[in-house]
Amino acid sequence: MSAPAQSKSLKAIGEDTWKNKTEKVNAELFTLTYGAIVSQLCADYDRDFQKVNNHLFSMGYNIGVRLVEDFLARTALPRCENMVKTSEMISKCAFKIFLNMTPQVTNWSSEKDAFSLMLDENPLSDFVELPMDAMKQLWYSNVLSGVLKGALEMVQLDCDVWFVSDILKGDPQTELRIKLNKVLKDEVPIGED
Amino acid sequence: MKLSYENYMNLLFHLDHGQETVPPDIARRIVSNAVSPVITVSSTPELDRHIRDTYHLDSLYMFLRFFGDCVSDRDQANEYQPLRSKEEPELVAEPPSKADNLIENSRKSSLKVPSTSSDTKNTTTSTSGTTGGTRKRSNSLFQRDQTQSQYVRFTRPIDDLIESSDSNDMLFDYHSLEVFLENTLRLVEEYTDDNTPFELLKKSLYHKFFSLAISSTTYLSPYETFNHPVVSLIAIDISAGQGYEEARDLLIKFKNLNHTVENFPIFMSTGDILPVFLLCYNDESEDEQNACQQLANQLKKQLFVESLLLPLWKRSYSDHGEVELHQPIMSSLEEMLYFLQSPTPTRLPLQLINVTYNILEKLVKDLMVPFMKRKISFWEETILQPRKSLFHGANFFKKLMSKNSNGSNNHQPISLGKDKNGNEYFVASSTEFLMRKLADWSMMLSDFKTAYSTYESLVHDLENFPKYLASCFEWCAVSVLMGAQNIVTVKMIKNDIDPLIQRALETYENCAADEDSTGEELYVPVRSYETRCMFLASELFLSLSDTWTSTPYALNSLETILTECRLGPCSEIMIWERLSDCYYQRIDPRIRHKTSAQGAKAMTDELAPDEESNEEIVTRGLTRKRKAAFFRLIAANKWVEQKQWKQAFWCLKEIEEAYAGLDFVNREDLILARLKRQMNEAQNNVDESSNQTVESGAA
Amino acid sequence: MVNLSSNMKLIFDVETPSYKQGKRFRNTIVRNPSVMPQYFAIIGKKDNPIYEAEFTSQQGQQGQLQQGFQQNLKELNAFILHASLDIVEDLQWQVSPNAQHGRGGLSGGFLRSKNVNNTDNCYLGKVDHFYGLAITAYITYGGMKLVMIHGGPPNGNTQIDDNMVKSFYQEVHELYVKTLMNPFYKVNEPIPSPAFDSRVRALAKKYLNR
Repeated sequence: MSAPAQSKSLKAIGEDTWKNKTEKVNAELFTLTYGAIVSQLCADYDRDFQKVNNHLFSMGYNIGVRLVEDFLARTALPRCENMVKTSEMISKCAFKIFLNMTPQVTNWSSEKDAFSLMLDENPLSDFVELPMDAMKQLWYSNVLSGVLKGALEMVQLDCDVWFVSDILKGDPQTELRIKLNKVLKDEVPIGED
Repeated sequence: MKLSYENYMNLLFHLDHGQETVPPDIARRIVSNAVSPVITVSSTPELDRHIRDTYHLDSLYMFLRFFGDCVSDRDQANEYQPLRSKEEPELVAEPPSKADNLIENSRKSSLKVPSTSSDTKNTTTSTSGTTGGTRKRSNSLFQRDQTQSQYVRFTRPIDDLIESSDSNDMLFDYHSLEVFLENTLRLVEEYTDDNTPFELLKKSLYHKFFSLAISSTTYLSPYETFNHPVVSLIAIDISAGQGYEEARDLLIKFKNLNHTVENFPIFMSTGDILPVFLLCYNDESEDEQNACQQLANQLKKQLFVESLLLPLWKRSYSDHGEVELHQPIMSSLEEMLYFLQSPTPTRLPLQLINVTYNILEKLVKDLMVPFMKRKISFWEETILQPRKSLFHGANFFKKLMSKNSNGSNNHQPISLGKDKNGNEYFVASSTEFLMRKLADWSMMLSDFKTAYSTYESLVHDLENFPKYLASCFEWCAVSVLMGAQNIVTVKMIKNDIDPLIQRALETYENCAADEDSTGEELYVPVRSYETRCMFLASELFLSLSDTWTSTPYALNSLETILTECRLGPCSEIMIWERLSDCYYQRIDPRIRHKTSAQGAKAMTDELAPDEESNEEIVTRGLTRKRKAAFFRLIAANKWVEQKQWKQAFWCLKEIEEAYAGLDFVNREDLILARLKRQMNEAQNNVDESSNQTVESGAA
Repeated sequence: MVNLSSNMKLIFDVETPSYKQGKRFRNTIVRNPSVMPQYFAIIGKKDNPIYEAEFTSQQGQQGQLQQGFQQNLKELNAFILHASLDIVEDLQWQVSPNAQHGRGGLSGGFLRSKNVNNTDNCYLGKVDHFYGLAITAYITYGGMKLVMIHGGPPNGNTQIDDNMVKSFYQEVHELYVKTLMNPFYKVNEPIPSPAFDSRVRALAKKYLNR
């Protein structure tokens, strides 16, 4: 089971899964659903966007910790031996399968423990224009950070995930930064190392 | 008491009626009145002097002119306001009960569209008294309202009219109309305050304006006969000892006007005017009564002229209260202006008024209408019938016939003649002109069916005479609109009526263009007729029951007036406001039923402005309320330009509701806010200046 | 398709007859006849504008005064537009199977058709006019009214290139739909987005004031 999977490129796996094993929903419905949540949060937190960011993050975290199970079950991918591999897994498989996009991986730190995902498109924020007051603080797609954080944590990677820039805020690109703090060794099953 | 036609037309003086609705059929009433038969009044200097001494009126004409309009309405008598009515109710019932009944009944009949036969019977028997009454035409396609033939207009003696006229006279002149409006607006300012209900008043002002633009009692048009006299009253003073000699001389003078008066129009003939003697006497003197009776008999036997006896004087008249008279509704613009600028209140005894109305009713019912009917049937037999039966209106044969019957190769010299200025007109005795007269008189008698068919057949004869043709088209359309009002359909408007009006306008336009190119005149007379045509068309279209269909045509006419006619600024604003009224009335018949029951009741001719104020989704797109508001706004702006603050204030008030709560039209930099500011400034200025005068007065 | 130079006596003009002579409007609008301003607005359900713009030609050199509406019209524009909504609403509900652009009888309308399933029939064409100004309209399926006053030459009627105007409306419609999808935009509220504004202006430049 694992041998053929490995022989296939990650990209192919991602595309195959997206095509054949994924139920799809209408993109506008998805986008509007997320948008409704964000704008409702903004209202609920009295436009305290820091709180909104946090809440989006924790929502994402809760999604991430579940979603990773689904992801692994669907793809049956093996462990990643390093962050480079992880980054490719995230970009070519995870993003492909769940959002049908492949962010570019760049900006590696010298220690190879931190990298950026450049989201040149973002289905979450289609049609979105931030209101003036939200421009400075709100990370509209912050749920993504949470998802990544939660998912990585479930595979023993303690990471910090945050948005560096966002087109919505007038930046030239949308950059999502992922930095590995440590690998949670104590939870690694014996004999795998 | 219900709002009468007269009260509505002179609403400014009857502001207690200010909150009622526009009388139904108002447009038709005005038109009927505007084309009503004209009666000239000539009297001896002795009689005039006698009247001046007793009633402070310059002449018998000045006396009688107050009794014009709808004779059976007895408007002047209705002016009577018993001041002590609560203390002495008997006194109110004092005037002859017969007259009272008459008022009651005629009132009923005139205010209702004739519908129930019992009602009609009641009216005819009591109003027409001895004559047996006019029978109502049963369910004719062209319905007629029997009160329509009871309108009359009085005017000065013919020779007087001819002398003062000139071939460049217009039906009405734009400048006088404007001056009239300005004066009226001044009066409005005076008579009203900020709390006066104004909606009806504004409509009434417009209709007054309209009535003046479509009628004249002074100008004799060569192309139509509405303003030509039908009856000539010749009055002598029995009290002053005048008798047979004077009457005969006056009659001879009248009969010979054709020859004696220089410039007597070739298109008029005294033969078509009914002379009637009016013998004025003192009712207290039995001698005079007898003399009158004898003289009347003698005049009839020897001169074949009927007489009416008017007891103009009686001491007891003054015992029963006096009435302050109002100006007649249809009067010449010049007279209106004169009395507006130098108002001279006229008071006459109520009894005399009632007596005069009795006499006039007799004149109309027993003499004038039968005379007109006789003439009409004579013309029908001698002119209309032969043509119809022989040639079925085929143009080619008609030409043949006229050639043959005239025994000459040229048919024109018989019909056409030149006046002293070299203008060529159909002479009074020509077939064409007599047919025109036949049609016009049918119009006057509300026999719209005959009028229509005559105009229509006349159209073929007048093809080469654009000025005659234009008027003919115009009245052809008017006769349909007047007569077939309730059955006019979209198709009729589109295929018949509107093309007629358009052809009339085109023809007028061509005539005007011709005159423009030849003469140097600033105003071409035919222009005023063109304007009248558009006024008539707009009001009559507006009076149709399906306003959704008809208002666009009314709008069309009014907007053309605005673009093409040289009206004065206030006159133009009146039309802007009327445009707004039109849009207000544009309501799809489908949603009329959705309106409340009481709304449906009031929905007769004009609509109360706050009808269906509760907006429903179904009404969307089926009204033109926003359009109406917009045109009202334009009018307000123009009133401000003219510094007519009261009018502007009213306009703004009317659109208040339409624009309430709409932020984007209420912005500071937009016209509405500006107008409000200007109004306030003007108000403050007035306050300041009045304060200053108070202060200076105190100092 | 829609011949706007047509004689005023045409049936369509019965709805609101045109003023033959624009010159009678006092304070005549004098401007380069090839450069016409437009006043454009998107009107919501309660007659509230959610977007308004005046387009002027940007052709002139910088510093040159832009050709806009004269003051007397500027303060009137909103009202002219408001007044034409009656007719837009009227046309909106007219559904006829043989509907085509053009004048169908007395109702004078650009009737909407059930058979056309693109936004072609949203375009109502010229619905109204006032003193040489033409008013065109477009109605979205959601009932938003896109209305525009086209400034005209001082005399004569404003010429409207229906295809261009229609394209303009359709693209603005698209922009509007996108705006609607923005979760932060409240339906029926004014569109505050400067991006929307600049995009609409770009469209105006592209289609209307070339």
